[in-house]
Amino acid sequence: MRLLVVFAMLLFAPVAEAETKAERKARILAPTQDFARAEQFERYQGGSGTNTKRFDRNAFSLPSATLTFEQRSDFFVGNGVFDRPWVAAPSSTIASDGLGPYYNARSCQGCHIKDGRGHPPAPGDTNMVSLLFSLSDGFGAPDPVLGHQFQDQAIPGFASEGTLSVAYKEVPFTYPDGTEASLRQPIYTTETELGAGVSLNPRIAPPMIGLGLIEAIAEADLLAHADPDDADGDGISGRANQLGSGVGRFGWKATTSTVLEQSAVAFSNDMGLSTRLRRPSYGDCTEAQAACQAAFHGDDDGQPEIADTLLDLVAFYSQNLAVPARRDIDDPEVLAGKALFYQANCIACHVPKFATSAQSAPEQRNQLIWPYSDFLLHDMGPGLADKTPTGDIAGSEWRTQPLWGIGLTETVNGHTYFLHDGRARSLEEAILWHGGEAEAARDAFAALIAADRARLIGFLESL
Amino acid sequence: MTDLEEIVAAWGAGGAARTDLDGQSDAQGLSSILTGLGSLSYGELAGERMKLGLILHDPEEEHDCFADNTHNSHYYDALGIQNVYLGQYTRLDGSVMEVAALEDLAAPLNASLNAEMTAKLAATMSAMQVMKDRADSGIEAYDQMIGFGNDAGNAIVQAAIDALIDQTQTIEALVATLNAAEISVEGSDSLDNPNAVFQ
Repeated sequence: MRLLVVFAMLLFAPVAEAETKAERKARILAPTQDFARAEQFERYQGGSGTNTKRFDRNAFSLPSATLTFEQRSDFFVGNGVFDRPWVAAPSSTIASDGLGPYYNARSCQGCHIKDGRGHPPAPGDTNMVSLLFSLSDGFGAPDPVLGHQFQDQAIPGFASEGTLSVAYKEVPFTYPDGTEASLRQPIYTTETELGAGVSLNPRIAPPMIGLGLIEAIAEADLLAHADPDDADGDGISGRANQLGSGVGRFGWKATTSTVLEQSAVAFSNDMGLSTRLRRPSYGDCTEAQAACQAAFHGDDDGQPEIADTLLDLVAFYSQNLAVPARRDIDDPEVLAGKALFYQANCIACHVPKFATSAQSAPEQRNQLIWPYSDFLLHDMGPGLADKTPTGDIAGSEWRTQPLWGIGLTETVNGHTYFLHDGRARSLEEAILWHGGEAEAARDAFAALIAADRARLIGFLESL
Repeated sequence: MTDLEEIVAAWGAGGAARTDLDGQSDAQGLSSILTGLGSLSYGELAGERMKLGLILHDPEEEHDCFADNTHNSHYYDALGIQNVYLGQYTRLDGSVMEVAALEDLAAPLNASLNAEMTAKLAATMSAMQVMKDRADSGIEAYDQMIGFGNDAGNAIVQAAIDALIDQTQTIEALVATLNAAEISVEGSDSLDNPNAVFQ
């Protein structure tokens, strides 16, 4: 024990008097080249707040260990708001009404099940819970009638925007060593008439862990990884989605920059609830849906349906769900898989480490975190692409997904469906779908012998 | 009914919860029990079930809204916490069952914390009693107590919440005392936790 502490002091004390703070940070954040042993602090992939206690079905639902006693109260009350089912206005429950008229879910946790990853419906099933569809035309504009999003639920008295169904086509993949695999490609259909050129763009509910830490990364540190014109010629660009409020960090297309903003968007589009940031009480209804806009709403006395206190509690809760600690970091097979992940250059986009800003909130600041993402937009090729752009973000551009906690998906959510639409039935399938800028890394994975492919996946399962 | 049967089975001979707890060391087991009491006191009861309703002033936010029995739910949840700590249970006929108490295990480790704990548990029950009496005497039901503008009712519920929060502080101090004892015996990797490495 004493030795470990001394080792930590050696690692984090300046090695030479001349080392500046910036040099020290760069040294700590540089990807390791030593795969003989686990890195110091690697186990705590969510920084000091890492959940080291539970790796069961509740592994994603614990408060960050950095919260004070008082903050934990806000976290638990926020959890209550997150779980709360909203109802249609008018009702006897003034503080809980305002749902819809159109919506995808009645509560946050309706899609963010166990604070984890959503899942696609079974083939032929029309129950789309935890998978929703963004709508855009060839210019990235929303559907003129249905709006930004397809809501397949509606309050009594309203017909929803329709039903959707998914079918899958098997696409064969042959590894260089001759091994056969099969990838599942979704085909979505609806009987609802969509606007000219409008496409259904699927979005699975992402896990809720570590969001405040992502928010706490200094913008300059994110931009340091951007290379929009691929000036270094490595075939990997990485583009920051510049928004008025800062660099986009959240959502499959990096369309929001803060947890608060993302929460308000979800209240509005997914549940039809107004907040101080998104005032329309009718959510995503357009002018062409006049009855929806004119429906009863829950904006009592001119106040938003979701009172400011409640929005802030939900945002606080969402910022502070602990990232679970890694497992098996010293296992030689996991270390070998880690080496392969680095050698295949997966880390060009799945950047291992960041430091959170000293300027962020006390519960997030000055942390060494291991999200394995650069949070930038990358061209992932035609195989994964939406048919249409989202605003000015191309259909083929996707934000690099953080990988922390991914190995606990099955434990928490009882499935292993990955990617933005849950098409991948395993981590292996998810890797094989990587194209565009990630194609070289995908090819490097495919070129490995089967045992090494299993080791690389074993490393991912330890995250 | 099946939910209750599941709990009885989990804690019966050979049940999963009982086996798990039996497998822990004395200090770990004690810490697990106290952590459970703390979670029920703070996040569950004071937080989600009581404070959220009070913030919303929403009659639908009472826990047992169909039975109008929320005051009893909250009261007996709090009593359950005290029962576990004191190792006693008063039957419906008024006779008292006594078993090995957490108190007996905690007292030798830290007598003053134990005294603080029993006092705070009693204070919570006093606050809960005021809330229960108000409902039982027909002055107003729990959902009316948390109503908007009902300052007197709100204050009674808030007092119970405050007492639960206060007792949780002591529960956590007890857990910390026990964990410290555990670490000194067995060691722990929490010592290399990277507290604010970039400070």
